[in-house]
Amino acid sequence: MKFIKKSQALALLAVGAMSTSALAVEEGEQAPVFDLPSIYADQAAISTASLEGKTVYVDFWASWCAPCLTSLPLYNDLYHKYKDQGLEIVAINVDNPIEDGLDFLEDTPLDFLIPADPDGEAAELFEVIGMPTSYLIEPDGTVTLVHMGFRSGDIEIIEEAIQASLAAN
Amino acid sequence: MRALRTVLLLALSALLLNACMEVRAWERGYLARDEMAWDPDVLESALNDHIFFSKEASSGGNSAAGGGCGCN
Amino acid sequence: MKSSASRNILALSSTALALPGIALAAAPPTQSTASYKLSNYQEDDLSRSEAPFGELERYDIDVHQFQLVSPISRNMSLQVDANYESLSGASPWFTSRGLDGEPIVNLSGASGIRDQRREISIGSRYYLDSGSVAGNIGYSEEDDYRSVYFGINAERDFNNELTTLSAGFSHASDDIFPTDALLFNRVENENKKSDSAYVSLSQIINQVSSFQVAFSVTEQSGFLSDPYKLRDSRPDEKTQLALSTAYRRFFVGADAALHVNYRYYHDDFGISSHTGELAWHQNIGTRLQLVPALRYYSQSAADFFTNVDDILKPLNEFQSSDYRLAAFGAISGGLSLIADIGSYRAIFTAERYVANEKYSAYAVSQPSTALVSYNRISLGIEYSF
Repeated sequence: MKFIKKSQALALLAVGAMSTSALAVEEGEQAPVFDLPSIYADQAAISTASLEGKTVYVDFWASWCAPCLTSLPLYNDLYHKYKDQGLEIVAINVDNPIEDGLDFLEDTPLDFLIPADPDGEAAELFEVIGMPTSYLIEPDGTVTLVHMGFRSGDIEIIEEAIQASLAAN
Repeated sequence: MRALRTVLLLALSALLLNACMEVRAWERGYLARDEMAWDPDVLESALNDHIFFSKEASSGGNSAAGGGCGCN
Repeated sequence: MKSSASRNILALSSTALALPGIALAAAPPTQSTASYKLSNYQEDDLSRSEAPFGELERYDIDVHQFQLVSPISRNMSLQVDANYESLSGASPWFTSRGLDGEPIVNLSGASGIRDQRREISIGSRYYLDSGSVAGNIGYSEEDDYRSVYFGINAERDFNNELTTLSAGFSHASDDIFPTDALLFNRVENENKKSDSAYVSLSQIINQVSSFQVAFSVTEQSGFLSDPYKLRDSRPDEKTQLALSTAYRRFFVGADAALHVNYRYYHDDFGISSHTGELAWHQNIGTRLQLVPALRYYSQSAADFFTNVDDILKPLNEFQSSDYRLAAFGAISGGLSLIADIGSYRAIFTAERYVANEKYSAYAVSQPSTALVSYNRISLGIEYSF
């Protein structure tokens, strides 16, 4: 009969219990580089290269995430308000299958860029730990706001950060 | 014998915890479905709890009990 | 169904005071939901061999349930519940021996009982970064019964919300003032108190399954007997323990979820019980769901249960012929049909429950002649706005 030493067992327990959560990409860091197809089959791919020189608001969302769906029409209003000042909104959809995301968009059309990330590759790069998570990225690639969740009153906080970023650039 | 039991219990706990995968935030679509909730129909569970409380002897469960009744 | 969130931004997580949905961080619901459920519950008549004398008809109950859950402010949600029940029928009054020596039961009164119950409760949940705290208070009243109760609970997420620990406490104080007390030599006004605590752990196992285990302890004290039975004398203290487990598994190919629940209970009246529940939530397209469900229940008898009242026994010795303290098993089967129509959800449920000493997993030394069987149908509507 094999005996597991008590100390080894405790070590196993500790390793198992430790969460493997890395922290999400933090404010002040450089945003990761990504290149994703659009969720719409007939639209061009969206990459960090194509967004150079703009203030970009990246948001990770899914059709099964209620706060995400509450935020998207509000982001649409923000996009219309600030796109002429150089704001780009990139709402990365993580639905798998992507049809679930497309079904939602049929009922709620949105005018900004919507990449599809069904395998979570970009979500992994951005180290997303909660849904939704959004990132405000300066034209030089620095992340100035990381926002997790979406509750009432958040849209005002986000709009303020966008205004500040657009004014500074 | 007691020491062996403790060690085996710790090892089993470690194995169980390791068996639980790291499910990333964007992979929780299936878990978020209504039919995967612990309690998809709260009024139905409340009604059943109330009926079984009056017709059987073992009331209560994992959540704090609601109001009593003189149900005979 | 596909998460209803994708159609009309309906609230995803379960209501404020129940444990929140599995996958998302603790957050207030995004929308308000108003619900109403109408149910009819009807017990089978006794047979003449069970009750040779008097009433055969048992209970017929209509139940109305109302609930409103709303987010209020950034971090809080409010829940209001109101219930109204109206009941008619008869219940067992005493048991005796029939002409053939076998136990028989006598139901109360020739004209039966007519009673109503009204209940109201209000609660609130406050959401923090990795958890929430909640409290609720409530009040219930009938012609002969009044209950006041409150509860608090808290929960905390760990491991990126893969693990949730939850604990709560509740207290209830009930007053019973039986009708026709003087006429039938019943107690006039008694009180019963109940304190209950639970702890619960939920764990996401993988992308399609999760597990929950919970443990609860309840202490009851005061008048615990049934004042409407001719002879019913129970201890004035009761300790109850319950261990419950739940498993949820989604089958992607079948587009359906399996629910498995198991509960073990034990109290110091001598009653132990097993409860097993199985349900299959089958999606049909994106707007319909069919849910067949099965439940098996079995309990042992209370130490002082007797299936024939012994009126010569001194009053300070415990005894009761209440069928709910007998050893028996019960099997119930139900079917629900759920339909999503715009911002509305309609739920239709039918259930049949049969209790019988033959279904018991525990030894039955004294079978009760008053075991109950019933049919239940319900129609529920939910509206999100």
